[in-house]
Amino acid sequence: MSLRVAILICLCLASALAALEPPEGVVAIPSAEGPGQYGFSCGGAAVVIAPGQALTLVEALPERGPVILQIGDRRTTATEIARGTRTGAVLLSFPAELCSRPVPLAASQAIDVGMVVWTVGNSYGILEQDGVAALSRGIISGRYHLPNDSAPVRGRGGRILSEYRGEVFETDAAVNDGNQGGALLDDEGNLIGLVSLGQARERRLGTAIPLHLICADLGLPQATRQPQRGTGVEPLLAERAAGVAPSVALVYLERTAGLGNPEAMPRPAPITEEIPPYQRERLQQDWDRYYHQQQVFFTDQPVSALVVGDDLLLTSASHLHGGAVRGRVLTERGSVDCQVIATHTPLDLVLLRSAEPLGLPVADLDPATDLACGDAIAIVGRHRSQGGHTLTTGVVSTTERRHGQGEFVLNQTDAMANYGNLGGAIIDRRGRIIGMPVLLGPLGNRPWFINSGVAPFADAASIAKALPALEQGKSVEAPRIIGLGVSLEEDRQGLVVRSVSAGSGAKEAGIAVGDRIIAIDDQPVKVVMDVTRLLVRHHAGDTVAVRLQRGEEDLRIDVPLRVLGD
Amino acid sequence: MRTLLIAGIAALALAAEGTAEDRLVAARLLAAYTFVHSGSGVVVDPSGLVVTNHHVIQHEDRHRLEVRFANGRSYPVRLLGTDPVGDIAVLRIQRESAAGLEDHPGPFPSVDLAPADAIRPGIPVYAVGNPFGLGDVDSHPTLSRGVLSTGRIVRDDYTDAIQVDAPVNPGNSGGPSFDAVGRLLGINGQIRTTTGMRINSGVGLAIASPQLAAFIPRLAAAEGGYVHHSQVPKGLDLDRDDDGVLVTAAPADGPLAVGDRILRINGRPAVSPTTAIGICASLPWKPGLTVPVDLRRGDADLAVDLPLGRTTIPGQVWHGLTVSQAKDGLRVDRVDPGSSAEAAGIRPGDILVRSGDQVLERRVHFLKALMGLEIGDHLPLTLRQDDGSARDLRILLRQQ
Repeated sequence: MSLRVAILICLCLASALAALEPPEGVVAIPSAEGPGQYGFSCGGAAVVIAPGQALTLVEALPERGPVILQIGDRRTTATEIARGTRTGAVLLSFPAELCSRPVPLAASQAIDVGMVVWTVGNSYGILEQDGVAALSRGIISGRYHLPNDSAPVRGRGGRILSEYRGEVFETDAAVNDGNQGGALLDDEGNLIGLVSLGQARERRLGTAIPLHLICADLGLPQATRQPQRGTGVEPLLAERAAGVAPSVALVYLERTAGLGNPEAMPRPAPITEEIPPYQRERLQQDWDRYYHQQQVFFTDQPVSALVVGDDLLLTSASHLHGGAVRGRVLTERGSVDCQVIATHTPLDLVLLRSAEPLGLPVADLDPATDLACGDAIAIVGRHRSQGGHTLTTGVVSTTERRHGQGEFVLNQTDAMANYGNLGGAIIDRRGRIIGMPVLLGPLGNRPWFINSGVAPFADAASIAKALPALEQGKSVEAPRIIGLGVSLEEDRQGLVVRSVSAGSGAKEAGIAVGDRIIAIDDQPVKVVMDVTRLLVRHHAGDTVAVRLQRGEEDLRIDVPLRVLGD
Repeated sequence: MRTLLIAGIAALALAAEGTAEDRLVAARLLAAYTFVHSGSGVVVDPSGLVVTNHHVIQHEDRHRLEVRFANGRSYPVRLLGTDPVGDIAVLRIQRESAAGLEDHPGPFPSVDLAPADAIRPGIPVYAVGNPFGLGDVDSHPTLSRGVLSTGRIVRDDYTDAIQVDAPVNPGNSGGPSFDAVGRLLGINGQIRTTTGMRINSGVGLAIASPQLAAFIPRLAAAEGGYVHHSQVPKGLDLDRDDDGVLVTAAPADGPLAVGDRILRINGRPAVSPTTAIGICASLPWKPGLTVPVDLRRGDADLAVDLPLGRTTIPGQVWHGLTVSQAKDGLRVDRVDPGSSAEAAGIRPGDILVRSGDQVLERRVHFLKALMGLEIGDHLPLTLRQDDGSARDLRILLRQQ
């Protein structure tokens, strides 16, 4: 047996030990209407906490009719015993013999950011249809209050998902429709909260109402079992993050217009019976986008920024959408004005200068870090509530993500990035600041990357290289597109030149309409993307060898690359 | 044993540092990954068999299919078989030769399918893909990590599926979800979202390895055609009551009876009618196929074999021929580019004289020949060649 195989076997065994058994005590509350409008149930979940007793949230209950519990493949009617006035928690009773394994409870007062947690619920009706709860593993990514003036969180079609306001645990584990009323467990399977669909608007991550608040609200005895921090790299990253968090500041940028304005997208037309079916789907997408934008882009969006000098803050230039040129930095001593100094478009960075020294520790960027795909990392952000920090964890997804031409290359992580932590710090397992999450969008008016698990980040070396010019107020624009200067058409044989731009390298080299481009720098090209892929690493002034076919003739010519449109 | 002990110590040392372990796993997972146009795929046999989703290649020209590895190397591939219902397609890597394209001898980095008992909720999962087409330009796939959210489940047309919370987005389709030792747990193909935006929400659905194991050999031998799924026999209706799944109507000549309570099908629990029907639809169909069903009839537990039918592949039948009546048969006026008719060598001007037992004299005869045939079936044709000799061939009926 080779050493490598043996190592992999050991890793397999170790990973098997880390898995959480799906608890039988998380049960379904099927929707009264059956499968929902979009082909899945919009029911909820409940957690059996004692023989014949289950906890859930009011947001998981059907709007009318009796509360049905589905336990395995059996269904029964439950009776409401108590309903909390502050948390919306509901205590249900049901025949005890239907579930013999209640979920153990843990004292949730001590829960802190970085603890490993699991969400367990009936997402998209899985408990109803398959009889198994869906597990998702994550961490406590924040602990804060959902403010009383928060806009209601809406799902598809504008349906209000939760109206709870108050203290929550935020998690980067999956929370979806059907999870409401389900369990938030620690790494040993102890209940520490009930999952709610409430969200902080700039974070858009799932939350749970702490168990100790629910017990107090319902008059239940508090749990005494201590929750477990969990195993794996996350607790280590949480420890490191606590050291970095003071260098991540909270900034309110003043947006006046454009994409930062929730009214930027016009309200779509109502969906009525008169609308032809083929148009309804498109219209529904517009509504989904509208509600999403309503909840994501706010003019007073609080964002994270990295302290890079006594009076200097670095954050993502994506935050400038909406015309922001100034803002306020919130510190423990109060609010300090700041303004934009310079932007670096290829890396999506913006440097802000505060009106006075902030008194915050300057972030220690580590430009020497050797990053590689698979490395464990975390994003440290700051939250407006209680001055706390947020943390999401993941791995480096790739280290060579190109989003344009030129020397600037971004990295990418699967850690959840959103408008709250964009511009914060990315740390590795040693606690070194290795980068900053940037470029979350919007792209074409669509915030594609929010919590998508696709989070580009600028690495510390690139940031360190860019900072001196920014400090001098020198902005860096995106490199302009370079190319051959031809338009190409794809057919079944390959690429045909359809036009040649005047003044282009192709014109100068003698490429003509009707030529077939076979290869560039000895790499065969069959579709336009092949050409793009080969040219993206080049700069204006470079020359590429183009092999082309003209009639029966095979030609190879050198073509200088020029900025298109010049 | 000594090797294992040393390896165990080494593994623990690596876990303490972490980075080396993480990178080792990542490198192993990326090697077998392929871009398939703007989607994804994975090599499942060193000879160059690539699995992807049907919907990734569905709208591509099947004669210009390509895969590209993370090292940037591209290869032409040919479609061996596809499964529009279960959303799996199998491709074969090729290479240029003096005689044209031929199958590449390999070897390529490949992965093994995870056995059914490896699919356990909560285990770590790695997904590799091309989210949002970000790797189209730089040829760098995306690695994401999470856990297996479920065991084997039924989700709409994914009848033997797993659910993962590793981030999966558009462009991950056709790509792999691996376990921690690089075994293929499933092929990612769908996501669910609460907002309606097509981005990850921690609910990624993948076609589970047992279904892949059942279908890949059939697809690899399908000669560019289709493999059908099974389905519950006509006349069987199921409903749910408080105690589970009930038979409410059953074919008179079948083993099930009204009032039977379905417990398990093919070893998988039948929790709901949807799941029961889905499990029956998860198998590759062949004549005479039955599935074991555990049921309760009155107080007795029984095991029966339920005969299954064949699904119809949805869509419009496409043969690619436009014909008109000629003096001694049907003249081919047009052959659609990329069609099976073109691949079979039929050219405009050819004269079709027979289809099986059906003599082709008028256009209505051609329609008669097509009656009863579905997507995935073959249309037999006899055409008369210029020298007067007859040539028999078969045309695969494909989705439009």
